[in-house]
Amino acid sequence: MNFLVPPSRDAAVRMLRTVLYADRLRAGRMRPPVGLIKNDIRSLLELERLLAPEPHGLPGLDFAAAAAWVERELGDPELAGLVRREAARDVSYVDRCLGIHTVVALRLAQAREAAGDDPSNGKEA
Amino acid sequence: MIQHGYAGKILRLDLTTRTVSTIDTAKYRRWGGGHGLGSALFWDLCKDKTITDGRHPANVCIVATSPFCGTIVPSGGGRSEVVGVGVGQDPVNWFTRSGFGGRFSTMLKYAGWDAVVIEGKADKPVWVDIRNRKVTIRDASTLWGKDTWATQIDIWNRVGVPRGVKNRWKDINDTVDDAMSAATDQGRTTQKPAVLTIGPAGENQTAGGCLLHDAGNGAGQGGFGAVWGSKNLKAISVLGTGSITVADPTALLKARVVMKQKYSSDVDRPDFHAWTKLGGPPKPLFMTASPTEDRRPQACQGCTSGCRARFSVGYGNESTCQETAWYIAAIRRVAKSAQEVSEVNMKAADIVQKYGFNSFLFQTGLHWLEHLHEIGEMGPGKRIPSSLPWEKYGTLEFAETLVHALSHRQDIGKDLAEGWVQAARKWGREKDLHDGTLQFSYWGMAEHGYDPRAELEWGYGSILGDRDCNEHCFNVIFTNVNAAFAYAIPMRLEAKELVDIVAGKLSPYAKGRPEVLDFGDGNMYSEAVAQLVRWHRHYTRFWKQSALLCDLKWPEFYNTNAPGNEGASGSSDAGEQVFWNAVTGDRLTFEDGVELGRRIWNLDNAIWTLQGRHRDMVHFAPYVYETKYEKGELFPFYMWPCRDEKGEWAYTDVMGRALDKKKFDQWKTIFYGLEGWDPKTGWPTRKTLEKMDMAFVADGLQAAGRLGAEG
Repeated sequence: MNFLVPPSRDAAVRMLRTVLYADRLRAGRMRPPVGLIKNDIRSLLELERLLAPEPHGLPGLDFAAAAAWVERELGDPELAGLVRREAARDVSYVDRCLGIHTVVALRLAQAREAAGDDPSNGKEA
Repeated sequence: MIQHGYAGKILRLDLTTRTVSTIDTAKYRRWGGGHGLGSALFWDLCKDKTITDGRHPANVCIVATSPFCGTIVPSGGGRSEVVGVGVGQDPVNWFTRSGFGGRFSTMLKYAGWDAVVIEGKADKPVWVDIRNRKVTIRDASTLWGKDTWATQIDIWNRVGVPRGVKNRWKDINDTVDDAMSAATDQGRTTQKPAVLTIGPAGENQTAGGCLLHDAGNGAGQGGFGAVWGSKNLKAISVLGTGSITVADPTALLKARVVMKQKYSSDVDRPDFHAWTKLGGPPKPLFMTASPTEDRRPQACQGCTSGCRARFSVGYGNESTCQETAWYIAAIRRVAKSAQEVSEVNMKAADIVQKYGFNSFLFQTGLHWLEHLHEIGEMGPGKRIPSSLPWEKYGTLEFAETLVHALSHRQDIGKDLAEGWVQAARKWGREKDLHDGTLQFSYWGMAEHGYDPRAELEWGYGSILGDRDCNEHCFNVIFTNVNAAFAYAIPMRLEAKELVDIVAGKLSPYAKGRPEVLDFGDGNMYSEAVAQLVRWHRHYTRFWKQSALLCDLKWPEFYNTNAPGNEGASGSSDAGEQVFWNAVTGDRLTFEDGVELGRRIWNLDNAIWTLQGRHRDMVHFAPYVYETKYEKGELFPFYMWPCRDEKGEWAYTDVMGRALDKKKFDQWKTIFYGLEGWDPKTGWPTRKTLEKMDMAFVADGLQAAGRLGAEG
């Protein structure tokens, strides 16, 4: 069950921030035939978009590094825990990406609501 | 004598004197076509092969076709090869190559020409108007400054049927001498000319300058747009009404039918997950969701694939593959919806096409620029002065501002115009080449997406050559295997079966030697891998870059549509040589083609040697040796067939390692030895060259004091 306690406004603002380039989460996409393309992550929104299903490629993500980054940079141990839980499921890599996408998307919506951010706006609060 | 598959003449343009002459193709028949033809012409016609800047007036640029162009050879009829000394590489602008698809090569042959040789430098901008055998060098003062699309429309209006006018027949032969063949060429057409042009990036002689044709066909790597810009050559337009003779039309049709019936997916029961290069259903290769489902497939002439698309929305048309990926990560940061991601992405692709700018430089370079901005190195009043609006990063406005600046040598474009690695040094960012912040792996060119620390044949082949090789021969293994791993679906071919099938195709050096495909830690500097790299270099130099079979479709090692999972390559019913012989009337074997590739590869190495190459220069960017390819850096695994300690084959993760510089250097000695080159210098030897009937090359190297010592 995906349950996340809605964050406070202050916590939400931190969750929605864009971190410095130096603090980014290394990630990529497999896009044949071009190959593996850099797609570093600097915000919760970007993480959600990286993991969102699309027909022309697969997200490239180290789940353990992603969980650690969520905890360290976004200050969200609860989401990090759910990321670790989804990553530990005995299913395919793609299904684990989809599971993580679900909890990340949930947290993104919660954070936007708490921060008073317009969900139609891609920019962070 | 009829030369089946050939037009028979090569067009020679001297832009300095504005004169036109011809060369009989027969003189160069031994080189096949495409790259081989181009390298041989360069060897003969470039008076100073020590030049190391493609913008030097002595540079000779050749655009060449192959016997396949204009025929129905599957995924082989519509490509052109470009060769000459390039722009933007580091530390030397080597004699290099690029290629593009579309209909330029076919139109060139229908006009009666197998290649165009461009020499000298015009004193003012010119364009070349080819209408069958009638060739005119025209004033381009009103074209100069226009983007690639406006230029083409302008020329279409002048040469062909003006836009908006109902199609009508046009007579283009003034006299019978203009016809390619008086018997078969009536000189009438409804077609618009095929135009190859440069945009602002080429006019301003930047490293990103491309050659562009139609909407989405570009020769990007090598900076040939800058080469044309330096020669004041804006465009070549060609309109042809002739035809090409095929030696054995029945055999050609038969092989084409075999390709459809034996190797291609059943249209009634398509297998979308088949492991095949040639046999898959047509599929556009844009890298985001389609902006609309209202689209039509678009392909190079004669191709079965249709990797491009035309959309009803009016943007992104015919852009495909890399140029539809260069800006995605940035767009995702700010776009409000997936639809907006697609729209901005495809419009960003349009921008690089219109400016004639090589978006491949952004593949890893854009992240580096963003990094420099963010750490305060780049910006208004900063150490690297720039007024680029980074606050708008991810928007279409930023994309156009950036591409405009880089295409016009404005802002940071002033420094990047000479090459990105050169700019890194000028900006005091040498350390970025060591820690991988700037991942330009080979000769100052961007890493492609198949990291040399994991996929050895791509990396080794690139650094032993002249550029990022961009030869997708083997990395379909990566794609097939890793997708199956990611989805946890059964492998269509287990590792042992796969390597056995592939090795069966690697004649002559590695046939039946599956160990050549083992990229495990214990085999990565082996004689076996050297044999694989040799095969890859030689195969591609002929079958891919001279015969001009499409890189994305050939070779086909395995095909799960076909009996025994055997792909078409080298097969007796639809192999490369079957098509070659049907078109030309030759009796070439598959191995003969690989051997021809070896000759061409040796000729190229002789040119590089004259340009100043020495084996000590043949090294990757420092980060390849000094940093590991970390798991999760781009993807969490890179599965490849490897042997375990018991010799059993299994798909194994080859991430998490760096290359060892000393061991790679020792591996080069093995490679040079197998090639018959001087291992101390990497230069070709007389003995090796004479065995290939290339004593004239040995003479040239000896005269320059750069002939390799015999072992």
